[in-house]
Amino acid sequence: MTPGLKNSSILELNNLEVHFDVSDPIVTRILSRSPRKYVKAVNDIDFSVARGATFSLVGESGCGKSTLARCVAGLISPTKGDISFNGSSITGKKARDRNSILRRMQMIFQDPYSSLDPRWRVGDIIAEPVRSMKVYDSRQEIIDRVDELLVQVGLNPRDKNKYPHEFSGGQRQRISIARSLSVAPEFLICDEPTSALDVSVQAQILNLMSELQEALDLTLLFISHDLAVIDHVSDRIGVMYLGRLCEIASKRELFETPRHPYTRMLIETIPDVRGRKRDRKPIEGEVPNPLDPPPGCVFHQRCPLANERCKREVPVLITKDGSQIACHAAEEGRG
Amino acid sequence: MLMKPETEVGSHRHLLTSVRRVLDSDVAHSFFASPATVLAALVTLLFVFMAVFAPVLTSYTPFNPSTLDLMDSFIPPVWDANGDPSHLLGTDDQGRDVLAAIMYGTRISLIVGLCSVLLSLLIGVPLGIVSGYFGGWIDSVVMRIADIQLTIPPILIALMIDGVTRTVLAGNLHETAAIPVLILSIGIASWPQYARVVRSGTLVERNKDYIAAAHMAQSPPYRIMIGHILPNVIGPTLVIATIGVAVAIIIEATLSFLGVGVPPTSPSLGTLIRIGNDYVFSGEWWISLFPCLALVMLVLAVNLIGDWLRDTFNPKLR
Repeated sequence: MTPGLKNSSILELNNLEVHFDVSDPIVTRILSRSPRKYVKAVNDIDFSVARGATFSLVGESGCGKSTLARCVAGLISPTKGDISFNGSSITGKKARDRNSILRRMQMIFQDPYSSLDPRWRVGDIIAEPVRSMKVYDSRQEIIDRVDELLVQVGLNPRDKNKYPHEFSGGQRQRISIARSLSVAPEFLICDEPTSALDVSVQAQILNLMSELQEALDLTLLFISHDLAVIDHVSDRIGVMYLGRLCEIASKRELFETPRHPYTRMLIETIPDVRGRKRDRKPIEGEVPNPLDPPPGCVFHQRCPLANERCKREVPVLITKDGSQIACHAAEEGRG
Repeated sequence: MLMKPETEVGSHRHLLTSVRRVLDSDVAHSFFASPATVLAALVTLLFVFMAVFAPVLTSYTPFNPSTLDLMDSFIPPVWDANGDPSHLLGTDDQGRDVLAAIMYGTRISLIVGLCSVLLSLLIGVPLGIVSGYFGGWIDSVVMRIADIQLTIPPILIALMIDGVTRTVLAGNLHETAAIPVLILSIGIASWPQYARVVRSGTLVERNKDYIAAAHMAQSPPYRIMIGHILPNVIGPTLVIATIGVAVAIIIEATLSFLGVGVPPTSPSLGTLIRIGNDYVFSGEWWISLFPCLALVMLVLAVNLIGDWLRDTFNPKLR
């Protein structure tokens, strides 16, 4: 697989923006003469995901990575920009056109407790996509498929008669994976699939996903805030901060030679067992309010390399040596 | 149901295990730990039994005027010196046996109570789910109508609907349609509370990931609402509905007491109380008192069960 070639990318995002209207009710707005308010959850996102690879998005809570994932999945419609899947645009598609897309693109959710309907039997949960999309004609085919999927994710076919509350968090996430795989998709969006699990269970789920990716030739869009998890699964990584991408690079490059100041800070925070007393630089300040983002580079208030230009001018992603970075300092060669 | 789980279940063995599981559940334990609830359940069962088997339990037919004898009127209860052993709780002004009339009256009260709550649920639950699920202007319209209706006491709404049907349906027709009209007016009068509870439940469930997963599965909105949201919000609604039955019985009794409910020829508990009310001061207290006691016991028992259900199924109170 050669990442970077145009024809091999399965997903491409162009200038994607998602804004949420969080204005007060119209009466309050008129009375207090306040303007409409928007949260700019996702801004100016451009990247592509190579077929068969794992693209990860990493960032702090609230940086817009889950919003981006839901937008790609079609659960939220973008305010601006375009998503193309397998070379054709999927934004603003009608429901019946989405059917063919969703048979090839599925999603795994973060919370294994709220992502399974507590009133449904596991077999029905897993079969929901194939039933709704009418993938099979007979009931027996659906039952066989459910059995096959349960075995594939390391559960027992007999489990299909149980209810979700009879399973542990890790097992529930396996059920969730089985559901997403039921329509045999080629692209899987994983929205922090392990962050609600114990560390030991996390490893099992991650290994299962790697195995399935290998066996089923899946492409993953993986969202996480955990750099250790990202390191485990990714081929390419995009670092997000306050709704914008700061840096996109291959895993090796990102971890060995991080170039964006924010990426460096993130990597600084990875706990390390061996290094005894490392002099860590804690990240200063807090993430700004997305309702009122700072002008210029959104990171400039916390950035050690910030100068006047950073306060005025929004940096754009520029390609440099195979990776992309949005930083004036890196562009100018400062720091 | 539309999304009836299609997984096969070995029904017989499952039935036994589920009976055992029910008896061993937290709910059963909390039920038997509360003597008031057990008593209330027994009283309710007694009333239901009385209502269902009224024709077997008594040979009197209080709804058939031709079997009544005015010579039997105003017989006091059996323990009174003038009592008659064949009329345990005495008779009323028409010579109707009070006990038999209570049995048949309970029947009407229970039918009206249950059916009107059912009607409220049939109106309120779908409206609540739809307005919670879609939000926006549908939600605003439905909920403002509910708000407006909540400002008017249910009795007044029921009186109005009853009055309208009274003018629309002519004399005799109205008498035969009295019970359906009562059910309709009480049912329409009390849907907003169910719509509200269901809507707030829907707002919570709608944002859970399993709904997002259902969207990813291409399940159409009606199937998400019926298959996913309804089963998850119906629990608290049914608990309220239990108390709603007691309220509906009271409303029915009030309407009948006011004389706009069921006709005196087929008296409900409320009608019996009204009939007896005229004779309280002339010394024939039993005509009014026993239907009153029956009504109070029935409503109290249903209410206690409702309270217990609410406490048991509300995790915040546990």
